Amino acid sequence: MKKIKQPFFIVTALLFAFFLISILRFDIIENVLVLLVKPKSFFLARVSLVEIAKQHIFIVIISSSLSIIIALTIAILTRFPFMSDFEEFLLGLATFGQTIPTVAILALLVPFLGYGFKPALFALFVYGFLPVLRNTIEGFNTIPEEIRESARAMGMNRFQIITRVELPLALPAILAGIRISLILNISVATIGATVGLSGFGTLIVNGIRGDDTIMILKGAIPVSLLALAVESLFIILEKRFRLSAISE
Amino acid sequence: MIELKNVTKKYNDITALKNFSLQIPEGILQVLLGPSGCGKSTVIKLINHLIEPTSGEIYINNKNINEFNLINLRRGIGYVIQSIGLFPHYNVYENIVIVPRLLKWTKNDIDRRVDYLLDLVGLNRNYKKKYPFELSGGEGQRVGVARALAADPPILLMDEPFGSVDPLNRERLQKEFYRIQRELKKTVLFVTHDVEEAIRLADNIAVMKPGQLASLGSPWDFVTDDKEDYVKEFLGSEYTLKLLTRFMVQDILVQEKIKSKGYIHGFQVKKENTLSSALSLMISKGIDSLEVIDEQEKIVGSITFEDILKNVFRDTRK
Ligand SMILES: Nc1ncnc2c1ncn2[C@@H]1O[C@H](COP(=O)(O)OP(=O)(O)OP(=O)(O)O)[C@@H](O)[C@H]1O
Ligand SMILES: [Mg+2]
Repeated sequence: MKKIKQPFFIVTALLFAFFLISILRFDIIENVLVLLVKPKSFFLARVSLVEIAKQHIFIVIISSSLSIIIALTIAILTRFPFMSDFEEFLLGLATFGQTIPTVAILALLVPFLGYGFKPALFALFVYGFLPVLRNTIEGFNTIPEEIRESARAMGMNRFQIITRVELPLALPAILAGIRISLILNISVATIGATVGLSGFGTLIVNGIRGDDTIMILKGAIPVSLLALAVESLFIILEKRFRLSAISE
Repeated sequence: MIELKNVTKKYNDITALKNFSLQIPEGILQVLLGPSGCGKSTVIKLINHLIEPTSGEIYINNKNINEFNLINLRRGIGYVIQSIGLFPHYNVYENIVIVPRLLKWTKNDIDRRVDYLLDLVGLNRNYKKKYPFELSGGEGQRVGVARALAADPPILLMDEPFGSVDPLNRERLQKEFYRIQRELKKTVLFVTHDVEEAIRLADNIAVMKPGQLASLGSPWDFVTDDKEDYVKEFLGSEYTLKLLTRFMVQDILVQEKIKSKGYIHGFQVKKENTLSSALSLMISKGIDSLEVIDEQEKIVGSITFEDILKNVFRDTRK
């Protein structure tokens, strides 16, 4: 296991701190912003950013947990003989699925699931699901055959091979998948405002409608900081579990 | 006892083994010798049941391997795979103790075993915390051997286990392995394509040609002329000289027979040196006799060229 250089921790901690400041004390940022852009409406500025952040993070956590659990389960099942035929199909599906634009999925879902929480949750789930599935399957596939062979040769059973050999060795790839999934979900949850999901996106959409730059930034700045903070946290985790032999 | 009966193994359209039969009696070190791609690893994988034969049967202690519980069968066989196959996320200690842990040994027993095994394969005990990427090829291979021996299995399958160990350590490992095998009487199938290694270790040598057995016998049996050309060619014309590495000076030393009258030229050889090194010394000095000394450098006897001629190949020269 690798030692992580200190700057990585500092940057991650700073990003989380900035995110918290941006939702708890946006007035500080606002005081700077009014010097640059002309403030417009003030009545909407009253909405609690903390409340919005909670809603945004809540839906990301719900949808990501669902997609991580289900994607991992399916990927692990492909390690068993009865499912191994599906592996290529799933990999193709995951790659293809990721090329469909978010907005298209959202627009397609509205007629079926209506506006609001449900279509957004479904879209988030699908988007979060695909990268985890794909990375986990590919993580398994990059494990050298001789390692699997020696595990079998020593009398490990299928379950022991998965838990003690394949999952630990695929962990960096799985973490990368979870990172992509979370970042995607943070951004898709923002776009979700177009189908009536409340979150940072609500501020951005309302800001655009009312031509209110500060309102837009009030949504955009915290959500960007959140995405960056999560990204850098996962980069640390991935480094922690990557083996030097593979990374260097 | 391990027995392969008329085994054929096809990989798609490649026939890796064709009607291959071999018996390895209990406690015997059987070397499988042959060129690259002739099917040596295939034989080993079949015995460990990593692959299924296309036809034919395999028996261990007169029981068809299909009747064994697969997991227990493998845990009772020490297997050094050709590509080593250490787990990159486990350190040396964890790699060695995989099978003992599967067999639920106590921590105490495991720790003692690891120390013993590291000493045996000649790795410093502070290597326990190292990861495979921090090891050289030869060190990794020695960890692979320690791992195979870990649970003290009665059967060992070793696929070119010393292939990338340096000559000095390889010779040491061969000697050490020879000693423990003779002591613990394990049934061993040892794959190599190094003729000298085969000579040093084998009770029996099986020479393979692609997919088939070409010849089978003790290292001495191959000195005779009645082998087919393929076997002679593979073993090389220096086979007889290489056979001398199998013997130590002390094996043919006659203690009382210390020669007098200037017959000894004053050159000395240690009694645990090989006969081939004794012969080398004779040739390089242009003499035909040497004094033999022990660990304390005390002269314990002598050896002459004639002794080598008379004793080593006595049985093969009919
Ligand atoms: N999984 C496989 N699929 C297809 N062909 C294979 C497979 N494994 C081995 N072979 C083929 O079977 C033959 C015997 O292979 P094997 O690995 O037993 O040779 P070997 O004697 O161990 O060679 P080496 O000394 O190079 O290790 C070779 O021709 C090889 O290409
Ligand atoms: Mg081989």
